Amino acid sequence: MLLIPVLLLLHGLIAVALLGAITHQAAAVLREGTARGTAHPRASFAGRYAAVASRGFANAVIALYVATLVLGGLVYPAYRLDVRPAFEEMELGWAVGLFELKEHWGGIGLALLPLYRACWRQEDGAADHAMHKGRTGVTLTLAFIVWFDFIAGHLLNNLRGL
Amino acid sequence: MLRFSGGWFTTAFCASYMALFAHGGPVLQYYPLSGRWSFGPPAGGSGPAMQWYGLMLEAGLIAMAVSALLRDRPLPRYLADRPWAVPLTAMAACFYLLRGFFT
Repeated sequence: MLLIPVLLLLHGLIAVALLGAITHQAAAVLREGTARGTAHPRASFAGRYAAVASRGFANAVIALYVATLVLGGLVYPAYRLDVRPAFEEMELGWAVGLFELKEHWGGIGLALLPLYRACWRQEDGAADHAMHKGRTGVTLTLAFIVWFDFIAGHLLNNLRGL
Repeated sequence: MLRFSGGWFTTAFCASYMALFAHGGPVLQYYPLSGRWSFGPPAGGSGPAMQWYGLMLEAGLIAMAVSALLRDRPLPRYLADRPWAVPLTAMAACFYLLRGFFT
């Protein structure tokens, strides 16, 4: 009886850590792409926020993403049996759709991890602009999925929690 | 030990996920009410079916096979320069396929 709320809480807590890690990393790759040559990159709060060793976040992001998805997968049957019928009774079709989107984009995010890992394992080349672009695009895509899933999950849990 | 290509895995997973989803879902389905797994069309009286586990499993198996077979071949130039293109297309396709929930 208590297991599902505990798993849901863990799912949410690990998602917060994931959100923090991927946001730091995304900010860092954007800063690398736009603020090269800036004299004092750490002068502002945003500069200090983005001034992290982005490569060091990759393994943590992968582990946190997998843990979040596995925990989400474990509580999913409870959602299907207890929450979705309530949304349907309340005629909240958009809420059902929002969860479906969260689920599918979450799965695509999991499939993105091998590519994400490969991008971050590549050594930085002196003139490898294409590699940096690829890494930035993949990281931002993953960050978008994490942010979307986090907000959607939070919103849906506020509508009808487990 | 089997080696895989990350780029091919992601590309093949997204493409097969889109195809399976667009063509009515995976073969394998889970019925949470009875705790049963089933191949084929939904079985009556088993409660609601869940397709996501089957989608993930089937797309994952296809992607593993493709990425193991093509591990020594680089991605085509267009995809190598834009590795996010196929995942973003798959996300857009999912949104399109689910548009009925939002109208």
